[in-house]
Amino acid sequence: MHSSTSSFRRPIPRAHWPLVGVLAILLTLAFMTAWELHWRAQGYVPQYSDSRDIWASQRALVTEDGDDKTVIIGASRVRFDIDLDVWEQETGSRPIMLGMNGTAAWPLLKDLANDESFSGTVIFGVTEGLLFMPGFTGPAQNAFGNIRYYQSWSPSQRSSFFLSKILEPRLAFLNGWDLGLAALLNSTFKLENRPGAMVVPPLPPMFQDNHLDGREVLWEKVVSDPSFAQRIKDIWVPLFSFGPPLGKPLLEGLLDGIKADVAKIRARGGDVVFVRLPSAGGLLELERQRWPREAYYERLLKHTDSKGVHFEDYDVLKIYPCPEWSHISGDDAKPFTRSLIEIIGREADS
Amino acid sequence: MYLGLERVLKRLFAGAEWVRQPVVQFLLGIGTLLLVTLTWIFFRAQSWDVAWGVLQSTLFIAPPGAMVLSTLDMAKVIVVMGGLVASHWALRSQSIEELISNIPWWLGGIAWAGLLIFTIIAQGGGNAFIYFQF
Repeated sequence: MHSSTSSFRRPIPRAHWPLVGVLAILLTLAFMTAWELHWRAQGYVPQYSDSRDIWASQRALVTEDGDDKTVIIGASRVRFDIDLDVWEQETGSRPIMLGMNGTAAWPLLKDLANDESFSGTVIFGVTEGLLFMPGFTGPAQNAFGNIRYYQSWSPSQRSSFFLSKILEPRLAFLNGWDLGLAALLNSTFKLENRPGAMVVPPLPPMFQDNHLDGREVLWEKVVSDPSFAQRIKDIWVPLFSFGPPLGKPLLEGLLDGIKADVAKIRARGGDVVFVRLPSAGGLLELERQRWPREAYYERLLKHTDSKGVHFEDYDVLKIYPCPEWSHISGDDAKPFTRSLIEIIGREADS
Repeated sequence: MYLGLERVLKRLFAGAEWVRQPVVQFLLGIGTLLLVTLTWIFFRAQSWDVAWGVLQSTLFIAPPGAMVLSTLDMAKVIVVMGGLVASHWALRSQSIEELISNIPWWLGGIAWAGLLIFTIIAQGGGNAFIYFQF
């Protein structure tokens, strides 16, 4: 094909452009209508995508109005298990949700520690399999990526977010996680990887409703359809078994970094409270094995001189089932949140 | 730099009949694509160290390391690059304007619809093009 630099004359091709345009639009509308109906028949419903824009919009609240707010960081468990409406009802103040799925929380803590405008309380959700990972791996890099995205949140990205807030609640196929081209290719063509290839195991399908304030609610299907829940359960163990455990020097470095960031926030009058939210079944067994409590969670509390709330220590927290081993249901999140607030308050006063 | 090299080579081999053979033309095209691909490494890499590492890996001179690419990712690249090379080779003697002028209008409509549909279904996967970021 001739290169675009080979000629300065680029005549518009001869064609019946009105007919081409009308046909293109009609075919596109027909296909996208069929596409939308197909996915709705599969059970997908319109909802917001869990995007960096949602995270950035919540992060902006910390800078605008966050000096004494409660900010929640962590992986998906904080998003599913903590009901922000209940928190606001119980405490009179709505927390800001900065949890991110599949992400290490320490970069988020560092970001808050470096934000001089913030002097509130951080609720730090500990998911060992994501927190205690080297900084160059996905969980930490995801967090850094979101922070960088927020810091350079461009007009085009903000415009795109504005448009997505209009379109996503109306179109079920706008679900990039399961229904984007890349996700469809991954789910259709299951090719065997080379022996010894360090490829991250498949991630679970979407199983939650995403809210604009960062909250997530487990789909009812996970609770009512055991086969769907099993599909998710089957993914957790290989996913959390991926890669070797964090070596001692890296662990010490990670703990020192968290300690320094906790100290910065406390120096400004804020605080950090660590919470270990529920998990169950084979996933909990794996977590106990790979990240023994004394060597990781308790070590973190001791190293940072912090209080913590571990779900296994409280009957009122460990009674809630995790239908897919890692998150509690939306209905259970309400009483769970009430109990968590009460326990955190008691721990703070003790 | 590459354009300068192209001009020099054109002058050196201007009259050579063997250069015009289809096989040689194809290999010259593939060679050009390879050289351009190498420059993309420096355009895309975030540091010289990363660029040098990818370059070494591309030229098979990197020290042993973990295999991190899935078979599907490699298959996608092979299919897309193969399609790119095949389509450019098939259209090497005409411009895109000539092609569009010569196809029936309904085929043009289908092609445009295909582009629109894939753009919508990709759902933002192609938004990294630097010139669109502002």
